[in-house]
Amino acid sequence: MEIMDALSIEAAEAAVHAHYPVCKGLLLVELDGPRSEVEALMQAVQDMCRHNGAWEIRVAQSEQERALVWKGRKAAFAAVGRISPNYIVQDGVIPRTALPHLLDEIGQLASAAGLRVANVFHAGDGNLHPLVLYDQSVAGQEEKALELSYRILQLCVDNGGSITGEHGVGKEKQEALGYMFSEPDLATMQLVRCAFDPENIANPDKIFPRPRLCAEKPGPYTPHPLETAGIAEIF
Amino acid sequence: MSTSTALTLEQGAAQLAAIVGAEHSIVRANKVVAAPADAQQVAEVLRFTSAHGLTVMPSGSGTKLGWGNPVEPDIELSMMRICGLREHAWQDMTCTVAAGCSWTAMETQLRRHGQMVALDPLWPDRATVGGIIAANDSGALRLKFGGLRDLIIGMTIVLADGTIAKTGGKVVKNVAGYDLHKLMTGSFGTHRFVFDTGAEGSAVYANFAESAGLVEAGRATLQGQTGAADVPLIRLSELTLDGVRKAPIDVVKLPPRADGVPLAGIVGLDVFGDRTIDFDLPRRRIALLAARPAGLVGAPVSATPTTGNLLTIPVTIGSVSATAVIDTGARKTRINWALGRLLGLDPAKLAKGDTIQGATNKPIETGATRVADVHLGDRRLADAPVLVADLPVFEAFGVDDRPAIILGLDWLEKTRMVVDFPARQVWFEGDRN
Repeated sequence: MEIMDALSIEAAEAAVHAHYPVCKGLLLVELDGPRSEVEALMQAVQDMCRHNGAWEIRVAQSEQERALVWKGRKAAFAAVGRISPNYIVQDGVIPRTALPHLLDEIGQLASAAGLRVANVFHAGDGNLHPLVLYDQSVAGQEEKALELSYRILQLCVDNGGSITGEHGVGKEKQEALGYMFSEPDLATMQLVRCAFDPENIANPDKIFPRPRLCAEKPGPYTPHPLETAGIAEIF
Repeated sequence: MSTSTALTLEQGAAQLAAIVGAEHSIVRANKVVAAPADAQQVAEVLRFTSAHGLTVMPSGSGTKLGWGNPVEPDIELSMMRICGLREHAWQDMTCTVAAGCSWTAMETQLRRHGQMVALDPLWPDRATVGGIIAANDSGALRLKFGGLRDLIIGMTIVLADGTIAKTGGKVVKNVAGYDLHKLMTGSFGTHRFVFDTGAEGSAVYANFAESAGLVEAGRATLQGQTGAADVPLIRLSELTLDGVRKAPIDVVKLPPRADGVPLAGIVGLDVFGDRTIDFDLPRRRIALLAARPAGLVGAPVSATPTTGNLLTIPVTIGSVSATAVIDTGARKTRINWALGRLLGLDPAKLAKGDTIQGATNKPIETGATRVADVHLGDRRLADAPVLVADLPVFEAFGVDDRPAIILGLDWLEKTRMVVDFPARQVWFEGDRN
């Protein structure tokens, strides 16, 4: 189950000409299994969609049609390049029932920031991939986009979700992990890390909000010298 | 109570009653059964037990207590008051359930929305969710739907020191942070203690002595690593550790630790000086044995006793020989200047090392450097850190007149060491890389 919103449909259509309908949102459902089971289930899916106000339902009539519909979805990230010079791919998770409410909130944040956000995501597991569109050549827009992208993660956590569903935490989301977990939570995870990597040689300085080395005492965030000098910025 | 404490069962029960309520802290079959009402109370109980060095056994309805070897804890921490299904987000197909909730009680609630947890553990009508997770129990449904750990998406855990930590979340897809809940599944539970071969006599810290109601019974002079101090003595009626029982035993009362580490006390040679100690830090295992373990490889190093029955062994660094005192109570290895000079160290060129706070809490400055090609019996360390200072402890150990080393945990943690005190022999397991 995948969902695409108007912006990502526009981008995907421009890239692969999948003949998507012009609409605010599109739900892609694929079923897998023995033919008789799939046919029965597909009927149930259609009933559910109709019951919930779907105004058009298309069922792929051939393997080519099926492949084309998916090609658009799979090309969506790259296709966004056609409608925006730069973009950030985000990866957040929310409880599935929070979806409608959260999409509204993302929309509000986007318009407040004066930026566009395209939404492509795995509807079945609540894993969102908002694409924050911006133009690097416009002064200050990249910073705004990064801030908006971080705000979306906070929104996910505030709604009982997570800052990453499948791509994990490296350097970019270190601080966000500190938003999701409290100090004792992180200290406990650190016990595990130090047990396996007491000298901090495996992927050092990643995952945990800084400063977070085995020998280091947890405490408030200390800025990097580059940051203090105004050369670099932490998001 | 049985281990390193002089609390009576009734005293323990009374202290726990202040946390969980009198009707939920009772003495039963030589232990205190305490039933906290929530995670906060569990944390408070564990802070109390870790401060007093008490052993704890968490329990649910007890269906699997017979698994493995029986344990005889001081405290049984019953989860039975922390029960019930806390939240069932049926449209999200997730639920939050308390440790003491029985499997059937949970499934009954879930069934109201036509849902279930796809697992069929043993004795579902009595077994609790917490116990099933701790024992990683499952049944035939595992073949189709996966094991218990695959079904758990988040957890609140309380560590032995009372830290409350959350892990995971309430969403079905999540890769943020470590999945500690998977680690906890099937964990059963563990505990820890400090052994100190550099401590002549055992000791307790004042904060523990006070909360345990221990009374002073005289005074003595304590030779700490940073100097001597006049300290009070306490008489313990009984101290039992890994099968070794001392009754009565006089221990030193130390001031509270300057570094704030919550230790109840130190167990010294007066308790295990007539045993063999298997000190295997790489495998995180320490045992007190009546005889040396079988299968030790290589030749033993002969040890010479020094002040207070402490053992010293010969060690070489490059071509320089030195006398080493085995001190598992020291975190870092130190050498005196008699050795430092032989190694060609220059006081002016040393980096500033730690300020050492010994058991008597008097600070002393040290220099820090590294030495190469160290031989401890069969074990060779290519490169090892040392602190350099003429600490009073060298004099206390009677080795200040020669090149000497206090062998601390930073060297010992790389190797397994077996010390046979009666035979005065020490083995270091060879390199295991």
